[in-house]
Amino acid sequence: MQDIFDNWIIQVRKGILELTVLTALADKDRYAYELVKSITQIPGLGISEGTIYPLLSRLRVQGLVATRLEESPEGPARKYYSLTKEGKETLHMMDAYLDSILKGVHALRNRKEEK
Amino acid sequence: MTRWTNGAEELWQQFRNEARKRLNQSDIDADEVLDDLQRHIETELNAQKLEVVTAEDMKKVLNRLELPQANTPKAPVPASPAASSPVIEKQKLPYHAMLSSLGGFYIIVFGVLLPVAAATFELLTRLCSTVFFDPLPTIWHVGLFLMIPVFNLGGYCAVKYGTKDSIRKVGFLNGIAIGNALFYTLWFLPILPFSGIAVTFMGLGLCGLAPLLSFIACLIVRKRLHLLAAAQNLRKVPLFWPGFGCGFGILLLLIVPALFSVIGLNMAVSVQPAVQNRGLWLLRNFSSKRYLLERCYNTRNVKPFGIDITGTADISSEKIRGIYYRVTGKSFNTERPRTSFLHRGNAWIDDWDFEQAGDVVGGQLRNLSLVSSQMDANLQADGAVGYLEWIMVFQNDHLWTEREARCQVQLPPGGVVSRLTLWIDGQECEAAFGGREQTKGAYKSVVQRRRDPVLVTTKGPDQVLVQCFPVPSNSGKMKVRLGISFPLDLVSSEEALLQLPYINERNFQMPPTTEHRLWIEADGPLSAKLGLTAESTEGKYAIRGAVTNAQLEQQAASVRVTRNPQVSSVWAKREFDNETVAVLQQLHNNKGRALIEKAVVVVDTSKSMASHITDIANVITTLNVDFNIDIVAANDTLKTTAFADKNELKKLFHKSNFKGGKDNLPALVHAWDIASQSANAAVIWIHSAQPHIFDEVDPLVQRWNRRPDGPKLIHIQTSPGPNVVIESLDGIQQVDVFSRSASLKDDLGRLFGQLNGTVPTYKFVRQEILPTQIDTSMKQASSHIVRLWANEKVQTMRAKRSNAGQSEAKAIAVKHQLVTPVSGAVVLENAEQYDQHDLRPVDPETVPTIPEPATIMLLGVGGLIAVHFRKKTHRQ
Repeated sequence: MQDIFDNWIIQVRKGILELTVLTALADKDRYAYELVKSITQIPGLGISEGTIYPLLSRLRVQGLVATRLEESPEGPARKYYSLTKEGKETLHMMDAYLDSILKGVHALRNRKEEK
Repeated sequence: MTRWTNGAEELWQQFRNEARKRLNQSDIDADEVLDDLQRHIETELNAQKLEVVTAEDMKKVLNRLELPQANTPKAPVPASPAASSPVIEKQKLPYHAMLSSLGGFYIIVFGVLLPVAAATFELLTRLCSTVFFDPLPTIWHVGLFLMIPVFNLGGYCAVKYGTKDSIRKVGFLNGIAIGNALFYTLWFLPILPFSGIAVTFMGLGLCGLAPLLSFIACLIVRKRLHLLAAAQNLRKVPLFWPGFGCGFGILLLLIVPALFSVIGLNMAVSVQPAVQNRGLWLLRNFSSKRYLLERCYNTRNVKPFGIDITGTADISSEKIRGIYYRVTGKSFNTERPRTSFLHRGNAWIDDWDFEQAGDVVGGQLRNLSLVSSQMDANLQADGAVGYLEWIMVFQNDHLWTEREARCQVQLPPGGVVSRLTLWIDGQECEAAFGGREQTKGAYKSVVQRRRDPVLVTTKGPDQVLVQCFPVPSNSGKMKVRLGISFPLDLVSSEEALLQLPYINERNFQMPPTTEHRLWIEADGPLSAKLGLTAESTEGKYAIRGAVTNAQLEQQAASVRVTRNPQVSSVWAKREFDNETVAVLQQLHNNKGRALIEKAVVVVDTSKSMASHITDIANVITTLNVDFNIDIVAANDTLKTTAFADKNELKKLFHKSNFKGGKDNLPALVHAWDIASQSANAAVIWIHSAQPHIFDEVDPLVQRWNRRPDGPKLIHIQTSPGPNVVIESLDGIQQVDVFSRSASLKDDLGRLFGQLNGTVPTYKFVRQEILPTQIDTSMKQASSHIVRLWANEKVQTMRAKRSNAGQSEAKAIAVKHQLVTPVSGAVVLENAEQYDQHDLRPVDPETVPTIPEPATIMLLGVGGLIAVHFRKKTHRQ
């Protein structure tokens, strides 16, 4: 039983990872350290920093995010990430898809409760 | 600066190597990730503010960091939303239920049906156009307005039944509908209160609310499209702004000319010259000429209920006609607004002839046209005199409205109308000649009773106004004949010239195919550059054929006749009941001395002059004359230059923008003042048509009244059309027209040559003699010479400006049956009408004819002789 749940959690985490990164960048551009920290602090997501950097690299190659380097007053230069137009569209699609699924699932639950 | 110990450095390198191994197994850029990780570690250690990073510190950081995993799932590759959406399958959507609710009903009723009904109602009745403004002035407006219901219906169906089309397309079209509906809502905003009141209290006026209600419907459609977009994994409906921009922007662009026309009109009637000029600039460059033309014809924005949202309703059509001339350089009645289903205007206004029985030609009327035109003329070369009969047939194709045909005819220079005939029931009815006001009064009174009159009165020098009423409706016709006696203009002692008469201004249609049939006979060889056929038999010469109206309107449309240069004096006589009037005509010519000391050339800078300005500049700058020349450009601002400075002259013309029509009156006054400083000067006015004057002509008239021998005004018109300035100067003897016979360049050369004395000027002097003084050794000429003498005498008597002089002038004109400034000719229907106005139609035996009576007699005698010889030969 626990194995099944653990496996399900891993699948959900994997599935939701890109959405999480893109959502973190939806409202503003963030530099890598800040971005990674904000994601790793999401409770239950259980993702390490070392996992996120390869994902960011892949998203950049896929054209969903763009990067730029800016000097920092307190430490090494910061690598800023921002959503591209494709990244925004993808995020909207993911959002809508997830909403649709969840609405459907909730609708099933509501119907069950009505019965 | 943080320093790493060797142990820390070693740990990092181990981590780095291991991470690279893992990353190299994937398609991830290992260098980038490792750089990112190093930057992360440095940032983290920097945040801890460690001066020395030990192996222990590094271990803690790396443990938390964890080695990178290369098997993170790939993100979906972006593609078109529809293609990438697993949800766009034909399935029932949960929001369908919403469309069956009130929103769906609203969309269909107010977003689809109401706009269609409103557009149909407006197109059929033109109610809004009549009372407020025209919301559908062009087919483009109709199309754009109908996009609102069409796209609303499309949006409704897309949501209700699902769509195979891209949501982008539907979103774009909905954007257009919203743009259109918002535009019309704003446009109708001023009349929304009226519509609201009408709907509330009378249950009418829903059409006025159609834009607002359909705009709301568009927004409801938009809201539902958001649901469709969400189902296609889009956060919002795409392409709203491009669609909105198209819908709103195109309508905005379409209305801009009309908007500028209204603004420009309001400015152009300002009393402040600066504002007026800015208004004219706006109108010349950005206005809708069609809008202005419709306003000239009263077919647009005439508010029967006094509601005007443009603020221009109180501007009279006469003022707008003047503005139209200043904007376009043309008289408004050179064309008529297009009529179509959309532009049919207000039928009751459009069919109304505001100028009927008035003193002006006015606007062109629908369905009234000149269907036949015939000119027959006889020229007597040696006497340099001629007579021409112009028969015109008008046809009225209006189904029920009788029409008055009006036109202003430009006579040959020095010509006078000496016969007027109207065909009533197939019978030729000759006119009565009487005092100007007497004949006008008779005409107006009969027109009011809708009977058959025709009236001819002068309309300035060498111009007459012809009015005939009624041209019967339903393809009825009216036939009139105008007889004109005229002198020939001598180009040289061997050649005389007839400048053909033409219609200067008219209220009827003349299709481009309209032809005038010409048949001109003379006692000398004839020639013309009009493609006519020349014939000659036994000393009689003829030229005949058909010319188009465009040919006739050319300023140099003329016929030349060769004459005997030895004949310099002729005599003529006319028999009346109890007397014979004999006239001696002698030819004088001037050559060898300049006629003037100074010339002031006024050049009109209206639009139609642009094509002539090079010729004018070339002639003026190459002149070799003995008198001084100043140039005045009749521009919006007066500018003068001396002839000697060619560069200044070029600058003067260059600065003139040749746009629209210019008010030449101030320039003429200015030129008169310059010319009057010399004892013997002339103002030479080179101009296009001048259909309007904007100030009183009194300042110019006053100058000649105070100085009757002041500067002479010689005017040369370059294009056909009315000239109200010259009309207003009627009776001033110093005003003279230069008879055109060739290109403008050649004519100007001839004029300046004549003024300089290098080209001979021929002038006929006619004087009355006693019949007993007739020198029968001299050649007898046509009796038209007597009519021309009488016409000159009328002008002389009239110039005396005394009551006795006026009465005498009128008596002479009536006696000789002439249309002059003091007399007119009118044909009435019956004897009772003549009696009522104390008029008598002329005896048909006394009117001039073609062929002339003398010719008929000669032909008769010739015929008898021919028959006699034929019989004799036959007997032999």
